Amino acid sequence: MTNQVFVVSAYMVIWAGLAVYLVALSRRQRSLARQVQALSEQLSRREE
Amino acid sequence: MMKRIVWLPAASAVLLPVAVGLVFFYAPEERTMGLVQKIFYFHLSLAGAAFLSFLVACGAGVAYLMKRERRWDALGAASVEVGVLFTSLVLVTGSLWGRPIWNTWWTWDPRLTTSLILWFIYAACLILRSSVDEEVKRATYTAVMAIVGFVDVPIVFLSARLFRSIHPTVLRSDSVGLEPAMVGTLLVSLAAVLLLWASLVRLRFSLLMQELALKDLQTRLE
Repeated sequence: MTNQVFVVSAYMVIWAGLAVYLVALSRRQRSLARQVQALSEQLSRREE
Repeated sequence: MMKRIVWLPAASAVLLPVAVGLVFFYAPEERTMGLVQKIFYFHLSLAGAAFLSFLVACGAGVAYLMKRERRWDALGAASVEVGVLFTSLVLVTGSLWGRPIWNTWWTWDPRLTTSLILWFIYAACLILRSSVDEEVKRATYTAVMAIVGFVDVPIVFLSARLFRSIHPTVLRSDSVGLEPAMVGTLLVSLAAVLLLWASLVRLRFSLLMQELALKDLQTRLE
């Protein structure tokens, strides 16, 4: 492998790692939003 | 309020491409290592941000044990998580840098070994955290592990100086050991990565606080 391949791979690993983490965070955020939605539905049912 | 939330990720989004541009089009090629040395700018910046993460986690751990406020636990947990991510990237980029230079993907050099131990300590902290349901216990364990684990950070930093190591040391007591253009590029890369680190820790912190608030509401409704 040439030096170019190592440099490109290293930078790709960095961006891929950060992207995976951001995707994981966005999934957690979506799951949190779903739970808030479920909770607000539960609350409105109780009020009725 | 909106400005306060957005400026950190916006600044890192601007500075990161600038740093990459400087790495490839401004910083000179190192004489002996050649092109592969360009990994160094982000490798070192990520390592610096990871150390900062563990310092913040240690400080948050001390604050939690003293005040027992959940925001310190959330800050510590967010810092540990981002620190583990950054340490993983440091280990992988270091391996990709080491292969063409040392002719091996991994060697049990003091710097590499202590860095791997650091990764294991904080990865274990995250595993422990995910395995405890009770909030106070979980926060106490995280705080203690974050404080104890921080002992390894100065050992990692000093390992290449104190022991016989093949890992290069850039920051020496008398000089930086780099050309001015390389120092400039390194500083911009470091600033970009630190801004990104701050954005990620802040994002994770607010997510953790929201999760805890939601759990409180669910418990009150049950």
